[in-house]
Amino acid sequence: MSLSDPKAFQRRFGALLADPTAAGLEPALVRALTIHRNTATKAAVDALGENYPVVRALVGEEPFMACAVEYVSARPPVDPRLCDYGASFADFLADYPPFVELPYLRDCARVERAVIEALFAADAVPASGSDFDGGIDPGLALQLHPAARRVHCSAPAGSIWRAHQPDSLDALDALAWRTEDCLVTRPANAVQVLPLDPAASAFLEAAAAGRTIGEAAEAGAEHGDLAAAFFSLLAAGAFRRPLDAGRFL
Amino acid sequence: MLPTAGLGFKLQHLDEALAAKAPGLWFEVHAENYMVEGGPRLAALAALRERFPISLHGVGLSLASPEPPSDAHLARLKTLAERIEPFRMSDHLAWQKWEGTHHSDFLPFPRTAAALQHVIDNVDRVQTVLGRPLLVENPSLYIDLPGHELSEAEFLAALAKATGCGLLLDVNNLFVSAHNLGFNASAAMDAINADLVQEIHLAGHSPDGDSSSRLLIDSHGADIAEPVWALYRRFVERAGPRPTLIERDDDVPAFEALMRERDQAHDILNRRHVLV
Repeated sequence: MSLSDPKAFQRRFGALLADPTAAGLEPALVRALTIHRNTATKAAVDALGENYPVVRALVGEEPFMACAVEYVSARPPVDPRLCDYGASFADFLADYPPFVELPYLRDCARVERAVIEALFAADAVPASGSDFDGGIDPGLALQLHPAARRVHCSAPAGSIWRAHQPDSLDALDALAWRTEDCLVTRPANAVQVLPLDPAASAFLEAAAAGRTIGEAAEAGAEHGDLAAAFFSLLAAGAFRRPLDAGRFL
Repeated sequence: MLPTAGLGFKLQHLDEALAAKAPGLWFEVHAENYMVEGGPRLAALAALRERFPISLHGVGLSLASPEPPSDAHLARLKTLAERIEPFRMSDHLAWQKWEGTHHSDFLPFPRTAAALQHVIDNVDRVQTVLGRPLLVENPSLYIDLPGHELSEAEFLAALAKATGCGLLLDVNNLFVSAHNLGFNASAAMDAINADLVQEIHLAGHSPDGDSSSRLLIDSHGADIAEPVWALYRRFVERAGPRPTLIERDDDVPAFEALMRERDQAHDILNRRHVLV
């Protein structure tokens, strides 16, 4: 393989990397290409496994590895930040035939992706109950904390995530099998996942859409105890701390 | 004390790292792992930076690509450098970008005059944006490509002369390349202009998993091999001490085990202080 033009060389080498066993290559080149391909695949598979530990635990190590290799081949990294790799894994799982009997995996992957996004999101001071000691201005539109994500799931994926945490007291066999909205946040600089009751979920959805506290409260109040919902969202660090005049810390 | 021997930092070792008291200790991280907006990972690195010198080691600039590094990536690297104020910044003499994908390994290329000009342009671009000097690391090679016009030592010396960059000498990569391509590692190391070398990497390698292959793989998944230690001592005897990193990325052992290798490198260096 002699190509003195760097662009032509990289086009040729890149094409061979995609298929190291192409006919006619000398064995030493095939082996080198295979090593480079294996190293890159391993790095991407390891990164995916780190970002989706619950999906990995649910399907088992070998099936996960087989799936990860397929994913890496279909959707290879496009960015050197492998800690952020796998954004489209949930969509891939939905169409991955070996896991077709496990439809809840997609929701579990969506929760895990939200956890990664929350982990790396910008820092900001969360709003707390004491920010509202002087009363709640219904005309104020709250801003979600940069780490806050609301995930609507057809399966209890947030509860499944919680049951898989090392210090979890939640038992998998106690799960109620139903749709679940959950909140992913990072209070005290550690990511948590919280299943939301319908009032909290409706309030959060409205607030995330830019509606005022008054409008969000109306949306939430149709579904249950709004005050409890509001303070549970505050405790979870769902919002940025509001300042005067509608600004946020 | 000035930096002597350091460790690749692993998040799971944060508490032990923060409590470590070894003289001359420093830490290196892969810059890309910390190109995030906030959260506990950045906070951990900032806490570590309060106590130790930090080196940012890039694995994503793709310096040997004919195209320049992406502006977005460079901006993220600059932001991180301004947050951490590293005492060294480095990346590899290799390429990784190809048709929109990022190949997470260090790919080889014919060391031609044309390739040299691309690398010079890319290193110039990086150093201009960062406002800091870059160190460029020799990669592990697995195939003797045809078409080289310069040896690795000549290529790196020309790059340093044109850009003012320094070199990161990875002794394990040099050993692995020499074994795989069949050249003499000691002679190749002696050909490197020691004045350009501002950091050294030491790591473990592994035999190729393919039983018909006699290649060594730069796995970072084993203890440092004795012949690599011997090459390292040879370099330090010739050139004097340089900040030296113990790299371990796979099968990572306990912090104390990594510190034992670190202390071994420190002992080799500590006859003289390392000049920063």
